[in-house]
This record gives sequence, C-alpha cells and structure tokens, in this order.
Amino acid sequence: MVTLREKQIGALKQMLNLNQPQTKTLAGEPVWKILIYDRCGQDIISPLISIKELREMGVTLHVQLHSDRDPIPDVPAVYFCLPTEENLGRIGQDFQSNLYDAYYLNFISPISRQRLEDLAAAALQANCVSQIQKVFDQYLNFISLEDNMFFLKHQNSEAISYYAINRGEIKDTEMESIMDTIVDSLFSVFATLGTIPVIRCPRGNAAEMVAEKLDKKLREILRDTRNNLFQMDSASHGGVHFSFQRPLLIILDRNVDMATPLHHTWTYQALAHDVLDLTLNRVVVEENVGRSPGGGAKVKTRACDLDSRDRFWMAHKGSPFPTVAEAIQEELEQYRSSEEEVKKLKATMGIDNESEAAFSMVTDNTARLTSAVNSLPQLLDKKKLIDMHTTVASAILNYIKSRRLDTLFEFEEKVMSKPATLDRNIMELLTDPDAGNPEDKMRLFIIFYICSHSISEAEFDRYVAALQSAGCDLHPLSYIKRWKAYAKMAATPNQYVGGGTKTVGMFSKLVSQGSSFVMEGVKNLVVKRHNLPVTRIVDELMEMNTSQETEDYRYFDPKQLRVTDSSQSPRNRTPFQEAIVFMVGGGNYIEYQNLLDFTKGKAGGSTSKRVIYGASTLNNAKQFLKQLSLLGQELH
Amino acid sequence: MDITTLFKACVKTIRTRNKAFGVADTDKNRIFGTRTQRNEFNIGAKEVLGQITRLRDFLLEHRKAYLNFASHLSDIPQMTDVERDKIDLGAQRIMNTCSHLIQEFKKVSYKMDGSPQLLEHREAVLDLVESYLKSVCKIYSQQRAIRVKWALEMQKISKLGIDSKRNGDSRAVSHNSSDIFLNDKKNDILSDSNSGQRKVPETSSNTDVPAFFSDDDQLSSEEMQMFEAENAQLYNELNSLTEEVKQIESKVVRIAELQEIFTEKVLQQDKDIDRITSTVIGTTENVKDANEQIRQAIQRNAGYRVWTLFFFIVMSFSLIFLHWYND
Repeated sequence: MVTLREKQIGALKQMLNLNQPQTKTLAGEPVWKILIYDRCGQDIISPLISIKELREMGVTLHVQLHSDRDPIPDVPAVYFCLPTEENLGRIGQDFQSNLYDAYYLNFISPISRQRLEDLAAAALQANCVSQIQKVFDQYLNFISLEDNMFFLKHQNSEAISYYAINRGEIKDTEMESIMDTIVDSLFSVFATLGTIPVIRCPRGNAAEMVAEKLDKKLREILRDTRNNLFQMDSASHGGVHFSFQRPLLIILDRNVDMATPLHHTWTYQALAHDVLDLTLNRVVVEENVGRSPGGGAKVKTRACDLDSRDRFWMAHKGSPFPTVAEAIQEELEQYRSSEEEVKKLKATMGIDNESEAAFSMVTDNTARLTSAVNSLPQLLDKKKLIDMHTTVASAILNYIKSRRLDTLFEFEEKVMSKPATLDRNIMELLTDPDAGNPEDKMRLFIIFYICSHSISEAEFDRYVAALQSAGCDLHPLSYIKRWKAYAKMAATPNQYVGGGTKTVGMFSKLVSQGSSFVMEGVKNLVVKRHNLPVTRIVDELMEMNTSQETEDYRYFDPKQLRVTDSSQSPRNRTPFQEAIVFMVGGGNYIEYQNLLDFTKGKAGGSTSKRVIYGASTLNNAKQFLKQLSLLGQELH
Repeated sequence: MDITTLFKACVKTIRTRNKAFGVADTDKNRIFGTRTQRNEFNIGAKEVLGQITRLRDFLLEHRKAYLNFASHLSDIPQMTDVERDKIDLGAQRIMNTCSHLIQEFKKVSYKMDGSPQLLEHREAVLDLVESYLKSVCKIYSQQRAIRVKWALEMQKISKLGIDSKRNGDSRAVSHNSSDIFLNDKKNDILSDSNSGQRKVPETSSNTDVPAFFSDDDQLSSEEMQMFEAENAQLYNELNSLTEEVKQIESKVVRIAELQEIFTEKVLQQDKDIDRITSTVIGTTENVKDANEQIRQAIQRNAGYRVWTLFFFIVMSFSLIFLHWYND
C-alpha cells in the first residue's frame, strides 16, 4: 500500500514536473524551472525532497516568496504557497514586475473564489494572463515526517498549539479560526489519501468540534458533483491499492493523556527529539572538534539529516538507546572488516602490477577491481553514516549522563505502572541536585502527581517547597491541579498499567568489547512493552470493543445520506484495518513509537493493521512545559 | 486539482466587468502574447540540449542493431562493424563538441553580468546540461563496452593454437581456466570428431606457458616451424579421415542394397501370410461345419439303430407269437 508520505511526494513531483504526470525515460531531457515557496511550503518540501533531488528534477533555483527576486527570462516558475492575502499580494507584485515568463501557481490549500477573482484582476492589470499557464489546488497542507506520521504546522505553530486552544481568554472567533485551520489540513490529508474515513471522537472538548466541522466539510464535498477529489481511487493507483474498508479517524484531545508529553524518553528517535530538538528530520549537534589555541574546546555545530534515506536510522529509530549503541558498534566492526578487504585487494593488486599481467589474469583482477571500486562509494557512505550517528549518539549520551535521564526514566516508568509504591524516592530525586535540571524535576513531579491517586495537602506542600528550592517554575503545577480536578481521573486508575523496566546487567557485551561508547554509569534499561492510553483507545476502537472509556464516543460517517444521531452505536460491525489517529493540541514521538510497536505486535495475526499518527503540532517536553507554565500563569 | 479553467473564467468575467465600467483593456491587442526576450544564453543552452537529445535518440534507435552480434541467426536488424565504428566515432565527436561548448558557456557566463540569482540559475542550468550529457555518455559507453568485450572474446576464440611462450610467473589457475575456456569454445564450434585430435596439442602445451594475447602478428621462425609442422600433421589427419569416410560410404551403400532385397522378400512373405490367414480362416469354418454335420450324423445314426432294433425285436416277437399261435 502506498503510504501518505509517498503520495505526498508523488504529488509534489508531479507539481515540479509542471503538473504533468512523469514518464520514465532513459536519461530524460531536463526542463529548467524555478521553485518559489513560502514558509509553509518550505516546511512541507524540506523533509520530503532533498536539494539534490530538486536539482535532478530540473529546479535550478529555489527561493522564498517574500525575498527579493530578480527577473529570470525564459524559464517557467513554479509557485507553491498558501493562498493568503499577503502571498497573493506578493504574487501580484511579481506579475507587475514581470519577473518570469511562465507561471505555474500551486496553492497548498484550496483558494477561495473571491481571492481567485482578485488574483485574476491583478493578472489582468499586469497584462500577463497569457503567461499564467496553470493554476492548481494542491491539497497538501500537512507535513509528513515519516511514512506513518504527519503533523500540521511547524512555523507559526503557536497559533494552534495546546496553549492557544486552552487559553483562558480565548474568543470564539479565534477558536473558530483555529478549528478551521485544523479541519482544512485534515481535509488535505484525506484528499491526498483519497478515502473518506469514519470519524470517532470523545465528547465535550476541542476534538468534538474538529470532528463536527470535518464531517460537515466532507459531506459538502461529496455532494458537490463538480468535484472529483474522492473518485480518483482506481485511476491514480492503477488498481493496486484497493481496500474495501474505509479507514477509521480517531480524533483525540491532548487532555486525554497529559503525562506522555512530559515523559522522559528512552528510544533513539524520541531522545533525539527531546534532547537535541529534532525538527523536520534534522538535528543540530555540537561536536568538540579539538582544542583551539586559546585553550578552550572548540565546538562546531553540525546539522545531521535523519530521515528515511538513512538505513541505520530506519532500523533503529525505535530501539532503546543501549541497543542503538550496540548497533553502532556492530556497524563499525562491519565497516572495518570491509575496509580490510579493500586494503588486502590493493595489496594483491600491487604485487601483480609489478610484472606484466596476462590478459586473463587482468580480466579476473579487473572484475575484482570493479567490484571494489563500486563498493568504495558505498563504504564511504557507510562511514559517513556511522560517523554521523556516533556524533548524535554521543551528544545524547552526554546529556543523559549530565542529567541522569536514565534514573528519571526508570522512576517514571515505575510510577506510571504502579502508582502506589515508591513514594519515598521522589523526595530524594527532587532534592538531588544531580538528577536533571529544574525542568526535568518538574516533569517528574507532574507525572507523579498525575499518576498517583491522591496526595495529601501536607505532602504536596512539602514537594512544592522542595521544587522551589531546586529552582523550578511552579506555574504548570497550578494548571495541572485544575486539570486533574476536571478530568475524571478516578475512573481510570490504571491508565499506564503494564509498564516498567528491567535492568540488564551493566557488564553487558557492550562494555566487554571495549567500545567507544562508555556506557558505564548509564543503566542498561530495557523497556517492557506496554500500551499508552492513546494506543489502548485506538485498539479498542479499531476492534469495536467498547469499554467505559470509549463508550460515549461520537460516531460520524460522512458517506451516510441521512444525518443520523451520532450517539447511536455504529452500524459497521467489522473491525477496522486502518486507522488514523489525530491528536489535537500536540503530539510526540513517544506515542508514535508506541503505536508503531502496537501495529507490529498485531502484524502476526490474520491481517495487518496500519496506523497513521497525526498531530496538530509536534512538541517536545520542554515546549510543552512552557505552554503549561503560561497557562498556569494565567490562572492567577 | 486543476482550477486553470476556473481561473480563466474569472479573468473573462473581470474583463467583461471592466468593459462595462469602461476601463481600458490593453490586453486586447495582444494576440501573440508577450514575446520572449532574445537571450543568447538560453538559446545557446537550448541548442546544446537539442544536440544531446538528438544524439541520445540516435543511440537508442540503433541500440538494438548495434548490440546484435549474432546477426546471421535472427531477423532483427543487423549492422556491420564498419557502421558500428562510424557510430562510435560520430558519437564521440558530438560528445566532445558538446562538452567543449558547455565549458565555453561556463567561462562566458562567469563573465556575464546579472543579478546573483540569475547567475546561480545559469550555473545550475549548465550543471543540469552537463549531467544530462554524462548520462547520455553512459549509454554510449555501456554499448561500446559490450561491443569491445565481444570483440575480444571473438579474437581469443579465433586463435587456433597457443602462442609463444611468455616467460612470466606461473599462472596455473588462470592457465587452466584459459585452457578450459579454449576447449569449450572450440568444442562448440568445430565438430566433435576433431576434439580427439585437439587433445594432442593441448596436452603438449600444458607444459608450456599460455599465450599472451597481442595484436602483434609477427611470428618468430620457431613459431613458423611449429606452425608448419602442426599444419602438416593436421593435413595428414584430415586426409586419412576423408579416406575412412569414403570407405564407410561405400559400405553404407552396399548395406542399403541388401536391405532393399530384404524389403522385397519381406513384402512377398507378407502377401503369402495374408493368403494363408484367409485360408486358415476358411478352414476353421469348414471344420466347424464338419463337426456340426458329424454330430448330426451320429445322432441320426443312433436314431436309426434304435428304430431298427425296435423293428427287429417287434418282428421277432411277432414271429414267435405267430409261430406259437400256429402250432
């Protein structure tokens, strides 16, 4: 099955091919073009297509819409931007100054009739109507980072963050506009997928509003016969992708699970996001290059791309950190052995080159040479990869060691699984100056607070005093207190049940091999499989089991002709094979990884399930904590 | 989704609206649209691109014929070696000129002035053209590599014997492989009857060092003698073979005649056998009938006897009775 990300890449490539479907030829003739995007377009394109690929497709120049641009004659220009007033104004200016000779306009989300007319007026005024070759609505208003993950906004993400949605003094119009943005992007996701989902959502919060709006919009589009967005299934896929089932869209609000975004992580990808700020599949790592003459350590920053082209990353992004370290070691060993082989070959060739080689011997050797030469770039790539991962992993390791993230992680796992025990240790951890910076302590305490049943006022005050002495910002606490009062926490005592860790002995194979990763002092924790609340909800809804959590979830089916009362139980009794989980208010890699593990666990059964994870924004714990703190400040 | 038509419709409505309001429409007189500026760079680059495309199309068109080395066996288009050489030369010439042109363009464009974006664009354009040229060159070199490999193999095959000794290191492995290679090739091409003879020079050359393939056709006198001796040997062998073949031929002819006589006889016997079968069938029928009749005869016989006996017994009793009565 073609994934969301591949479909998006296909749509982008077709757009870059001047909106014509691509044909495969042996050495095609390049057609030159210029790509112009706005910030949103840049966010969408950068994780999907690298600059080298852009060059291969014939894009000679790629510039921002709002930068100063010079006229370049005789070359078509491809625009990829949102249809906002600002952007349209700038495009009008471009028309006036006659910058390019042919314009191909692609709008990321559909342009309204009014704005289209404005654009037409501007074009008429500038006398360049004949130069506008094509105008397209690309329904691509979302960013896919991975095959099964997407989110909505990267820059300007504060507009639709958790803070913006849950603010105290939010006005109705602002709320409407936020919901509209979210619905628009979700609609683009389904337009790209080409299917109409069945929608389920909990009651009484932002998720419900989003679901209602999305349902209405999908209904409108289906009734509108001029529109052929969703009838292109067989044509575009050529009959390969033909599932009889519609996917299930589950819209959840962040409030269903507040502990996970603050959780300390242990998998490679999640750690990179948490500690090194992995954004748009790219991390910026500081590495110590050497000692400068002044005596201080020279620090150089290096940007590393971690995406699907990186084989090692794809294999290990979900594994716990010690596994990753071992794997890097193995790769290094493999690389060294292949290097040895090549060196040996060079030696044998050297000996033979002294005398005149017989022709047949030469062919034999040339075969070996060509294979070595062919494998040489591969080896070099591998070396670069290993280098990069070593840098990233050692940076992460440094953070872990300095903030003792492993102990924090272990503790949080224990807390989340058996909330009753281990009251004492938290006091130690909170007062320990070594265990993490103030934010870490705050996160730890919030998780503890959320997961434990009840804490007496006196104990609470003691903790607060300890936190204050450690220098934490206490505003998030007040917000969380209020949230806990609102949420029906008593009804769900065992949300995180089944978690926990077991410690593998420190004298593992790793240390005995004398590796470059000195993992002493870092516990070798292995996470037991468990399901986060989100995963559990997804599981129940997909299997059509009802539990007290999902009992009163609303049910929308845009394909049904009558608007039925959505509190009825759903008609469709078969379990769903495909689900799209959307988290309003911010998602993170931990949930994504958990969902991936869940689908992999189910893959052994009769049919495999596919889950796509989406969120309005992607927050790591630091950002989320800041939002909570702002919210807490408002309460006073 | 394509909304170009929608856009054009909007443009039309606005135009009519403008006409209604009396706003001047300067676009009406433009029938051909804005003329593209004459730009030397672009024109030049497009020319180079066109040339490369033409070369590529030409190469691809003749690819099948070029790579068809077993032309006498099939009916796909053929190409002589002369034509292939011509194609090679021509393609190389075009590629050289193109790369020169690109280099010149690069130098010129560095000197040309323009905005930084324009310069970047031009650089990128030239890079793209260069990579396109490289990919077309790859097609050409692949074809050529296949052809060269084939030619070398053909040359290796066409050498009948092993050439002079080349005192080098002992290359047992490659040595054997080359021998096996030669054996295989030769056994495929020449008839099987020669293979026995082939083994003789092979075994003798096993102690020699194998040939070093060179284009040099100068043969030393030793080699000449060896070749002549070999030639004479081969000639004698071939003569004896032909004689044997003739004898075998005559024998085969005689066998054929005898077999003809046999066939005649066999056909006669066939006829006789047919006759005999039909007679035998008739006989069996007769015999069956005969059995029937004999059975009937026996039955009648038995019947007559009974009646006769009865008659005699009755007569004798009646006589006895009459005798008694008359007394």
